[in-house]
Amino acid sequence: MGKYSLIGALLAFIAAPAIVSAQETTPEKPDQQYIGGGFKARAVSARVEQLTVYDERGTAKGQRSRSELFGAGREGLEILAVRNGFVLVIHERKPVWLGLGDVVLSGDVGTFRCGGMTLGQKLFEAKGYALDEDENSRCMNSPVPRATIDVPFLPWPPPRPTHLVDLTKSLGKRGPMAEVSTRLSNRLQARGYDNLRYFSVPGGFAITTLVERFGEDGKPSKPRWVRGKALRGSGFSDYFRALIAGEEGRFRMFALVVTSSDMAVSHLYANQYDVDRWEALGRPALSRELGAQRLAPASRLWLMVYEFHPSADSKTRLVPTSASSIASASHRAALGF
Amino acid sequence: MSREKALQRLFALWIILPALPLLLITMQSIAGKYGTNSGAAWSWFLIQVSPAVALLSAAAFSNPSAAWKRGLINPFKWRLVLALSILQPVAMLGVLLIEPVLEATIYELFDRTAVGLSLLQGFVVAAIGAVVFDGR
Repeated sequence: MGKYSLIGALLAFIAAPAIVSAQETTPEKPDQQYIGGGFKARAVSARVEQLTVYDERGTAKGQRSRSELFGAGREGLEILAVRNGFVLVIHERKPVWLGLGDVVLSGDVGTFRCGGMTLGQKLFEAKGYALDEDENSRCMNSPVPRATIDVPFLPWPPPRPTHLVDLTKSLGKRGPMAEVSTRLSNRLQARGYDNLRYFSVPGGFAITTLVERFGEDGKPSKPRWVRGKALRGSGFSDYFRALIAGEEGRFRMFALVVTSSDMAVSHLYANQYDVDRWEALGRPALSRELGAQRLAPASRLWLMVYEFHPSADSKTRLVPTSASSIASASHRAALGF
Repeated sequence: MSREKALQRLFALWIILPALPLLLITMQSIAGKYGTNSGAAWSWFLIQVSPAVALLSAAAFSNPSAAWKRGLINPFKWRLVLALSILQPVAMLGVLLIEPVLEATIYELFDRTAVGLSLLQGFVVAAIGAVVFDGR
């Protein structure tokens, strides 16, 4: 019997770390709470009581209390401030949003203004939070925008592009935003960019293209819209390069921003999450309300070029290119500007 | 052919043939094809090669009786082990060489071929064992 007790004690000793680990995922332990959806935070502070409210165009509308915004009929919706400015929104005990910053009200539940997952991820990792990237990405895209409102271009200020070019000379006559956006989209569509996404930005709007493959001369290359591996069949040198060095594709995404506000960009580069979010959440056109608004005479047109290359890791994803090997003029030529 | 001679040839074969995929993976790792995941390629390679090389190394450095060394190898077993010993490294090399013209990534190919190559490796090790331990 003593022998079995000893084996039992040994087994308990071996299993102890696993048991502790399981307990850490329960809400009872205050310094590391499991908050669902793949998130585990070591420190979740008190609930946020005051929130900055923005309209769908990103204009601050002042401070409102939590109960005022989400009290009636929204008992299941909780907003927790995680340290370092993170806001975690929990609906019926499930996290629906995690991000930096404040809440943008649009519709009944609201979309949530996020300071950018690049920064969020870095802070999260720096602070030792466990983060399931895929799950986070899924949660990030959860709040589906309503059809009648414009989707804000997030994060704002936008991530640092590889090229930022002032194209105000090409903006033409200022008028209703619908007119200006149609003029721009016609120019883009003439170059094959016919699957555009529209966003609202402070003092204007933004149009993004899909991610495309391009060549050394800046022209689109085949397979243009395929992000995955490109099959190469043109000669032994191409084959040998692919065999030894692997995928060497270049990818880019254009964002045209028309705004009367001062332009600023974040110090962080755009990543795969930003691209996926823009492609998934952007509207197919400006809303009638925003389209009817007249563009301010001082509005400027900015071209942001986001260049990427595929990562060589097993989880193939787009990695931002910090220093471009081609001039911005080559990109502009491809766009027709 | 004597068993000693057959063992020497088999050992030489298992040094020379796997050197080709080894060289290729080395070049790919240096060129950055695997990014930070070169461990995936090396583990795929080593899992396929190590058991056969380890078994042959043990046989090569062991000291069998003179009668065993002089004894003749069964021709069928010799042909079988030779065919399998060529097939295994060639199949590995083939996986690496065909990847650039396939849609699948190299990591997907490693996953897809791991089971088949492991099965083949089981037969290879069994065939080598039949030669090494026959009549000892």
